[in-house]
Amino acid sequence: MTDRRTGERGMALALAIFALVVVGALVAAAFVAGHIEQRTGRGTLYAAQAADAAEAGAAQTIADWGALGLNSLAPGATAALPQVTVAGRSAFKPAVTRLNDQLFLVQSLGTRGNAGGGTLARRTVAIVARLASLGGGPEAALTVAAPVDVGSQVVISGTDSLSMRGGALDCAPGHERPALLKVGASSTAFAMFGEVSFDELKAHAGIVLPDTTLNSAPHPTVAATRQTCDGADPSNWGEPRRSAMSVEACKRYFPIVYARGPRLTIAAGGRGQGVLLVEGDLDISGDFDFTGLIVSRGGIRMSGSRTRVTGAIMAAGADGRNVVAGTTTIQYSSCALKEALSGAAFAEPLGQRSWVQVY
Amino acid sequence: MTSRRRGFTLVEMLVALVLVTAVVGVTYALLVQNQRVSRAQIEHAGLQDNVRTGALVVANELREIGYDSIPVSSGLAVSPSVSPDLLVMLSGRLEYKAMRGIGFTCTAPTASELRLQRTTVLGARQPQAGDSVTAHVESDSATATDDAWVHAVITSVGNGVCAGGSPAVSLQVAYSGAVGALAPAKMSVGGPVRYFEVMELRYYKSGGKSWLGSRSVSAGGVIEPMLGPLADSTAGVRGLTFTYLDRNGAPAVLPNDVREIAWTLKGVTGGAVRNAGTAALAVDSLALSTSVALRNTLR
Repeated sequence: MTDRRTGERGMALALAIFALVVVGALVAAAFVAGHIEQRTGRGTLYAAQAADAAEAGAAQTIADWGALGLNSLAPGATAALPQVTVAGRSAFKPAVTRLNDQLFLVQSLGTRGNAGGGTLARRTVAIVARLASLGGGPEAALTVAAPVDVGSQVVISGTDSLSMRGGALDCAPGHERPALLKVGASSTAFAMFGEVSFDELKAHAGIVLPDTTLNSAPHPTVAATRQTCDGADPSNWGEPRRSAMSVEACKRYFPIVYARGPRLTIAAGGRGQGVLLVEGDLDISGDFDFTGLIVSRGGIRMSGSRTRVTGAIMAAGADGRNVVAGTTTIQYSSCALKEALSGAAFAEPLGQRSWVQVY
Repeated sequence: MTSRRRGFTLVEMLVALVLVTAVVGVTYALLVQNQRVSRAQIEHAGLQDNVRTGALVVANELREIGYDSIPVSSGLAVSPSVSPDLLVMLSGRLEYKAMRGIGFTCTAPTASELRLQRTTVLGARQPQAGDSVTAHVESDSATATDDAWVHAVITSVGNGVCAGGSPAVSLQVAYSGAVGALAPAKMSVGGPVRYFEVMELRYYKSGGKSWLGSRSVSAGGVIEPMLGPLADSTAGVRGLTFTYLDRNGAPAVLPNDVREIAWTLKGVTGGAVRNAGTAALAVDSLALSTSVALRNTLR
């Protein structure tokens, strides 16, 4: 007898499979739409993070201007700065192009990466920046607000000098200035340097010293990994000498050094160039060779032998007396001041239309 | 030979019919529900995408807006003048100078030509005739207080060569007024030149739906949908609202005072959807408010 049921054909299975396929397709479509939506959302987030990183890079490059030594770039030249990782997997990589004597273009590529090192999003912004003008410096070799005791072997000269130790400066001489100029303590000469105030200047200092006695002499140093001047070394104040024995890499490095305490004592001599700002009194014990501008908000005391300042010194303290003794030379040099002030100048975004969206 | 085959009984048929009907009904309801959910999800995804795109695109378009000025100390004007990029600032319409790129001069500018080093031209696109430019005037390099930006129209764009022999983009320009005679001599080689077109963003209605449209005013373009559909404007509801804020976050009246532009987009689904749990078909909406700080406002 044949089993009749083996020949029967139902449709429940087919219906069930059909329903499953349709439901599966709908669920898959919804899943795909949701997934795409999620990826789009993530892409938006990554793009925003990359843009934030780019903005941070541009801002930080300008904030760290002095430490990066960008003022020595030739017009048209570009300095590619190292990549910096910021929060999470975001990073920025700045590049600075000098456009002319005053203007720079700071470009910053921001990226958002993944765990594997790939790039999920990138954005670039740029800022057109110009060097802040620090003016031409003081009008005398030594400008003070209080009386000065000058030793018999001291040389304070207002004759505009073109020479530095071991070489000559590459610019024309200016007019002869007074060796010594006494002005009121409230004079703007102590407060403003070109368009920049003392406080703005110290805010851009690349080297900040506490209330201290410097027992180790500042001197130019070269980074170990690259034959470049080591701007990260706080004892590196640049190379003021122009002889064959001088540290070539640091001749264009003019840091702003700010001593924030009530007294800075330079006890061990040393050498440097740029702008030295002292919040309190400055005491130099000899063997100190400096080219550029020294500004003390207190008084100055210079003693010992072989101290030479090429450029100018200002002492704003109205109380007490300034003392310049020993075999100290203060030689006015508009050329040295110009080099130091332009070399130490920091960049600021243009007052108008500085920000650029780079696509 | 007598057949032993038997048919289904009526009861069996009825039971089977009821069961099949129930299964098909449940399956159908499930399919329909799934389809509604799926469609609603896709519509919502599109809606979210729409408003998100609006937030991004509009922000990108407006972020570079700024102002420039000609101070008396520049020697270019007898009284100071400020030129804002915001030309029309209404709640549903915005007209502005849209920066399209920047380049840097590589030869001394003249009264009729600005030559940009080609490799320095950065932007969304290359400059073209009909665009406007605003060029940086340095005057005295020892001070930033006399810096100015002067405006001109690009009459033609060609190729040129920089002083050093590298390729350049040559912009033939026409200044308006006396500035053209004075400004080029005060520009420095290497100075920035921005080029821009005047654009309009407008909330408008087309094809029975509301959109955010854009057009190039400089090129005499017609309004085209940029994103949408947006919610129709009814009493108390708008699909798009721009708000202009000053440095204190208060509504600004004058273009020069605007430091931030905020906007609320209310997007709607392309068609009516039936959300899960509701039987009624309805157009769904999603509102997104965002703002952008203008980067190039006067500091």
